[in-house]
Amino acid sequence: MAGVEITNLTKQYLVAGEEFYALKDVSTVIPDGSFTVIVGRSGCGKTTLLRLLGNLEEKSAGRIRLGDGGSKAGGRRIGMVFQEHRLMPWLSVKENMAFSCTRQEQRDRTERLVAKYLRVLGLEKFQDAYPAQLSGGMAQRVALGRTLCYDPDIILMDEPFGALDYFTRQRLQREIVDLFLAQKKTIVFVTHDVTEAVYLGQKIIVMDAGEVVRELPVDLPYLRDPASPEFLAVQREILSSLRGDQT
Amino acid sequence: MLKMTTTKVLRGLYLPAVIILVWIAGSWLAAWNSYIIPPPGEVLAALTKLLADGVLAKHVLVSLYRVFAGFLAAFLLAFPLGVAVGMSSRCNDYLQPTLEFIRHVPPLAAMPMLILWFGIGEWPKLLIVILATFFPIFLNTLHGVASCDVKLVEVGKSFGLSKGETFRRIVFPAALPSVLVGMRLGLGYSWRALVGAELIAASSGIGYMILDAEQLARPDVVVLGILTIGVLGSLIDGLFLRLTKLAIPWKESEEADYGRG
Ligand SMILES: Nc1ncnc2c1ncn2[C@@H]1O[C@H](COP(=O)(O)OP(=O)(O)OP(=O)(O)O)[C@@H](O)[C@H]1O
Ligand SMILES: [Mg+2]
Repeated sequence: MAGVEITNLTKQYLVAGEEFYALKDVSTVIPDGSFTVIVGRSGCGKTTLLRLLGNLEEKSAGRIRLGDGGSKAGGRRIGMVFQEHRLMPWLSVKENMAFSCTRQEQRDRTERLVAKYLRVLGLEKFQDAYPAQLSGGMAQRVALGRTLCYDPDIILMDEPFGALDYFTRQRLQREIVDLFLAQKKTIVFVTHDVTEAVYLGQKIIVMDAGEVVRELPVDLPYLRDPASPEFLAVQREILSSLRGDQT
Repeated sequence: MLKMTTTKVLRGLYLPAVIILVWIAGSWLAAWNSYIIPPPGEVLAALTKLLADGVLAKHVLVSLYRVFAGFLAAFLLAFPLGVAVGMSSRCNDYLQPTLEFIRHVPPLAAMPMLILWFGIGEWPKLLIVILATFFPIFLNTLHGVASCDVKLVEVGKSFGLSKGETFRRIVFPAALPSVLVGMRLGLGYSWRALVGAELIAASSGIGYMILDAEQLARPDVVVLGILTIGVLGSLIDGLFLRLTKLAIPWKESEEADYGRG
């Protein structure tokens, strides 16, 4: 099976001397080349799951199998876009985007990628600006570009548009869909916004209190119309599975 | 922008101008004993004479040499130590109380001991400068390294950076502004401590020049020495500030950003 297989994944923290399950027996599959969205209310363990996938946190139990990625040999590259842009304040936009380049022999390749994504993300005019000179939306776009220039097989995004205003957010959502259609990378996108989830996801994983409560495929073609009856139906279904679990 | 800085510079010149005018007028009207406050003319005459025979240049160069040699040595000690302690909290636990104790002792208080150990040669002066400069550089480096945002370090981790790369590409640049602040403070402290040390025991240097002038009853040279110290200190600081701005250009845009909000 190609894709990321997650089996009985558990993460517990010791909070005030008591065991607390941030993730409890999570099992699911993230298909290769798919746009998967993880949705759930605040504190349900979305970030924890993503950080485990990105190898930024140690799991307590369970298994994550990244798969072989089809033809590619060796490990698969995982890129992360954080909730905050986390750009290096001392690097220009261009330098930030090339940040993942650590070796001399990658330089040409990275430079080509940087040029490409500066263009794609509409950042060419700002390539020499410092992060402090950017608006929030632009900074988030640079952060996305930085991860894209790493050329990962899997892109993890943790509410990357959470702090943005309605209009910027909408524009970036559309850009992400365009990128996904053009690149066919595996994307795992975390959000607490149900509309955003339905707008973006081919597969939606609904979480509540550290557990997966629902998985549903969304077959609607891109770009989706949030006012269409099909869209609203999916949205209702997600909301009902969340409400049903509330005690 | 340019106009604003010019007005600012002008504002700073009013007070010195007033002081010099009062000095000139008071001396001319003989408002005070010219031995207690020598008239500007005498100080100017001393300046031309000491410039011409190279005495002033000699003392200044000796002092500058001591400041820079001591500063360099202190930096080579304080920077690596600051990094090491900043990166490891255990290291900090071991060293903190000792360093805290030494920090509160003014370098000049150690002068008698240093003379006892090393005589009145170059060593006590260099050590005074090192003592004065070490702590600002060490503490600011430590602070800069320790307060590096873990979220940025995590970005490095997500891109698979090694420990060395993480330091070079994230921790160091993040700490750099703080390190530079420490160096600037250290430079200021070293200058003051050195002149103090030269007043106690030396046979050359700007501090010695002042002491010597006092013993020869030459208040004009004393005043000249004081003015030289102040001017040189400001020049060094200004130069260092210039270099700082070149080294951390992104800080300026951050300030501009704060100004905007
Ligand atoms: N380092 C930690 N120590 C203790 N508890 C933690 C830690 N990290 C997360 N948790 C707990 O795990 C739970 C899940 O946290 P997580 O950050 O994954 O939530 P989330 O779904 O991303 O929420 P949000 O939408 O607000 O970002 C929370 O209840 C949180 O308090
Ligand atoms: Mg989160």
